[in-house]
Amino acid sequence: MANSQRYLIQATAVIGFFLIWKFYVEFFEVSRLVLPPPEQVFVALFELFATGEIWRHLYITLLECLGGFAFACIFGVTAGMLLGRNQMLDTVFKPFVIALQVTPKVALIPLFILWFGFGLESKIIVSAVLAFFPVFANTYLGARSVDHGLLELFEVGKASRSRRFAKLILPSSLPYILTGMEMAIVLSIIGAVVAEFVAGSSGLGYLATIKLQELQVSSLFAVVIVLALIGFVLYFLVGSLRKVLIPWHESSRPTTI
Amino acid sequence: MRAKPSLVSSAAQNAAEAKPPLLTVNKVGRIFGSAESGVTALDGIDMAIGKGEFVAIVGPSGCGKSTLLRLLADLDAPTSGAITWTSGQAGQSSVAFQEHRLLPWSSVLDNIMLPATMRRRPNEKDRNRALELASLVGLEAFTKSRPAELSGGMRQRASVARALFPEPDLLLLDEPFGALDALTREKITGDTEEIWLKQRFTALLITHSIAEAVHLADRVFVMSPRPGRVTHVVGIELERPRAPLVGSDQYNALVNDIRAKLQDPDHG
Ligand SMILES: Nc1ncnc2c1ncn2[C@@H]1O[C@H](COP(=O)(O)OP(=O)(O)OP(=O)(O)O)[C@@H](O)[C@H]1O
Ligand SMILES: [Mg+2]
Repeated sequence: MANSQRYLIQATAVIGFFLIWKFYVEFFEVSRLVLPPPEQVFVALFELFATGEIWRHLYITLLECLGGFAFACIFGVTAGMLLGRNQMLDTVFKPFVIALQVTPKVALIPLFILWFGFGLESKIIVSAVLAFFPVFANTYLGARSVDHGLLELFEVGKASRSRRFAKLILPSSLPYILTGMEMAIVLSIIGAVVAEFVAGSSGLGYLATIKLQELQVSSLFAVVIVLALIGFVLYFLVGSLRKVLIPWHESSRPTTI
Repeated sequence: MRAKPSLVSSAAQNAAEAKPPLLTVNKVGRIFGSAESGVTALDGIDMAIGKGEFVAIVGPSGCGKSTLLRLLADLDAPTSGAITWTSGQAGQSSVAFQEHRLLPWSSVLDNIMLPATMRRRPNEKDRNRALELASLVGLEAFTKSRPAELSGGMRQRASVARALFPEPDLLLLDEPFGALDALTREKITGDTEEIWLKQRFTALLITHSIAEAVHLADRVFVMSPRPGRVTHVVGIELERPRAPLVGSDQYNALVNDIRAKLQDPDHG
């Protein structure tokens, strides 16, 4: 399918979606408190930016989720590499990591707030804890999946441990790490927003709760749209790291068969 | 890289063989799995490889050639017997494995100089040597390509170039030219001989081509099917370089002799 043709289909689908939304709200006389018509949501969205109200919240949420994402990547890759390549560390720490994964982390939010306060720190930590696991698990899998033949090659060549890591294990794990990061960026946004719901004094999650209390449902929808857009942009940015970092990998090839 | 043809008498070769060997393989056996129900890949292998000697191993598929190579490269340990290096400690070996084992994320050039990169940051000298080797195996136009962009035979050639990169104590080649067409194969075999004549490293070649073994080796070890044993050792006393001799009566007689020994391991 040609690109222009594909864009046309996608644009039609989006417009169709809004038309159905509008039609549904008008025809079934849905209360504005349940579902406002699309144009009202757009007006509310415009107002959020026009009054400048949203900028501070947007900035805070971005700061929290990017901070959390960064920590998740640093700790996730480090832990994944250590446990993936070291049998002893794997045996000792695997139970803890699994325990961390199976615990509903959202339930830990009050605890983090108790420990780290109501400020940015607790939000960044919630975001990091949520985003940690996919980075860890994928890095771990990557570190385990290094081709045995290539490991033998480095063994015969008497490569030092650090060189073997830099020249073989890391590049070979990169496709996995990037997959983990793609999953993590989405979770880091969720983490930040949920933490703001619970104990925020700023940020988009906090703004959403305020709009709900004021029963400004259109604005609530607008905030959700902003969050979705942030998600889109960040996910796209992380995803495009693939083309930069692993152009050699199969996943960077267009699918033709 | 290209050596001027120089004639080496077979007497000189014999003298080389008389020197203490680089390493000795003593009654080596390798059983995979348990001792009772396992697969005996190698059984009672005895061989001494002289310093600077070129030996070849021929034998049917599955007879344990690659297993022996892994033992020599210290990637695996024998279940019985021992491999001893005369110097007292295992020397540095360099291997062209049966599979190319190229790094998919690196260019051909980076792959060829990997033996250097494994130990340190490569320098200008390493690059030049890698370029020389790339053109030696006919990949000068592909130094920037990644392995996925090469043909099977080209990958194999890159892998051989990489094995030739260091100056190892022992060069191990496992079917390095298997995926090449007959003409390219003959040319690379001739080039390999020239490099060897110049550098005189110790080399062990595993091959399914008897002609190739005769072209390169001082001695050819003939192995039998499982359990892998050495049934014959054939000394090749042809003058080097041997490219002009390929196809001559002398040459064919040796090829036929080895073929007969392969077909009938019990006679000789
Ligand atoms: N890791 C292993 N585990 C179990 N069996 C093995 C292993 N490696 C090799 N073998 C067995 O040992 C025998 C010899 O294998 P090897 O790879 O040495 O054969 P080969 O002579 O190199 O054959 P080819 O010419 O086809 O490469 C085979 O029967 C094989 O099944
Ligand atoms: Mg083999």
